[in-house]
Amino acid sequence: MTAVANQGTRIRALHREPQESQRDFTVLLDVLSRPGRVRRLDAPEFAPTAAVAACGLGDVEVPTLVLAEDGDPWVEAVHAATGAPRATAAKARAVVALRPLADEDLRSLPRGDALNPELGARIFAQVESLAEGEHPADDALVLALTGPGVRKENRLTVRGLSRDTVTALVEANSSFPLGVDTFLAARDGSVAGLPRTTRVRVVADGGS
Amino acid sequence: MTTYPTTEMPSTDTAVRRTDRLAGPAPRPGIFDELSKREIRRAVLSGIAIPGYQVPFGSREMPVARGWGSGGLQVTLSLVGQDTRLKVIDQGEDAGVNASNLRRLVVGHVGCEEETDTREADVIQSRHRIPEQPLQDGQVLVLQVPGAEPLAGIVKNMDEQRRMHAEADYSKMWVRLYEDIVHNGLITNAAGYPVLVEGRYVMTPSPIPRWDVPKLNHSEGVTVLSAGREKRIFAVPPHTLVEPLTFEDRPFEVERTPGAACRLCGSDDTYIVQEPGPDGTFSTWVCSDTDFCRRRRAGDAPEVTALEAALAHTREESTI
Repeated sequence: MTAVANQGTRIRALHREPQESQRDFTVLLDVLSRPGRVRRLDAPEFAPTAAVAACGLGDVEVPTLVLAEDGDPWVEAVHAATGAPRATAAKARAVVALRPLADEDLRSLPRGDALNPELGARIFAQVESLAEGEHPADDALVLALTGPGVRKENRLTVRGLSRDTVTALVEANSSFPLGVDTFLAARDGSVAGLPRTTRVRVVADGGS
Repeated sequence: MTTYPTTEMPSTDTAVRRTDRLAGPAPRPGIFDELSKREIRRAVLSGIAIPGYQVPFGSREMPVARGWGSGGLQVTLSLVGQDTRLKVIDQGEDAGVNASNLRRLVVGHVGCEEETDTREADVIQSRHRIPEQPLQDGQVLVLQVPGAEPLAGIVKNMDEQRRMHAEADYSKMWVRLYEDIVHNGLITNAAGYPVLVEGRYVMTPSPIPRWDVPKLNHSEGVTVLSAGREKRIFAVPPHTLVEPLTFEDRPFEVERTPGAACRLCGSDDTYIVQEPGPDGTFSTWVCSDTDFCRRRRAGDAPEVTALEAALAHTREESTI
């Protein structure tokens, strides 16, 4: 990982050019349409992929909440690169989670209402790594996914996502069409989609 | 033959060239800005996450009139990049007026590749047909939608339509279909047959013929439907349940004319349309999908059409 000295470098990394945001979008559309599929964004390696993905889609019209450790300079960088206004959890349209999502986070995010289900938050969650299929390991979570976009059942192996977060996500998406749509984004630039329609089951949890 | 003196007005062409000389080269023509593209992209992702739900979006003015594919054009412009292969069809035909103009507009704006072979296309924008060639993983079908609301003919009030969708209260739709059977002996919807997506939202598949409706069920490709005039985008992800609304004792049927076949390729398993003869009467049939017809004649088309594949899949599912 390259050391990043100044804020300008971070903002440049998150500032997506038209061609980059078009390519990002086709990748995000593909992984959201086919839960369990993992594809890579062409992102600078020192930048958190979750922030890169969010910055290709966000702009001044998208109230955004960046969840991170105190003093994380990437929070400022996301707002500076996109012009997206800061939002509270209850008003956020996009959420960039650079730290693990807690149960309280997911409980306070909007899920839309019956007339406007599209107002549910779009979450970009940073994880350690993502792999298609089942690769059980000590620190990995294996998810079984079914629902639209999945032929029968897809398996997805995630490092850096806790079982509690998955449980909270399942709870947030328990009353379709209300819910939140999630992109998992890993260090190496790979992304996977978990739309609110996806039924998620934890089949192996190396951590427990 | 009379010759006329050349005192007419300079052609537009010459006028443009003169302006160019005065002002320097024109800037790259921009018809769709980045912020608008991002808004469309967010609406498409919401549509994928809530299959069949009509996501409102800020529809922009386009260089085509609303109702001429402006919605589809906005989605296509948000999707394509320089390395995208783009196919545009109008009723199955790549050379139709609407199709060739929209294709020229997008290609001229983005510099992407033109494509007519359905198998090679990354993005297919279509006015009212789904190709006979089964769609593949990685392809996106963009359907132009002239009327997004399946309940429009049943209740006029838009708030009431939204309430019905929100509560999945489709009883009036069922009553309408039932009355249709009582009055006419069958459900008469020809184009835009209403479908139920993933058991939740009733959606219009845009005015595709009934022939194309089963292809939406468990498709390999992504389908995005966009209505520019009504400012609504909706979508069907791959491998998603799409069922035509019908009653158990009235199975859904597609158009078939016994004995009719394409005059050019001889197919009777594709969607065929009547063409006028020299005397103005309609007596012969041709394939609506010109790419598939051409490849059938060249022996380069699959035996099994998208419809057959879709019906086989539905039969397989129903026996499990």
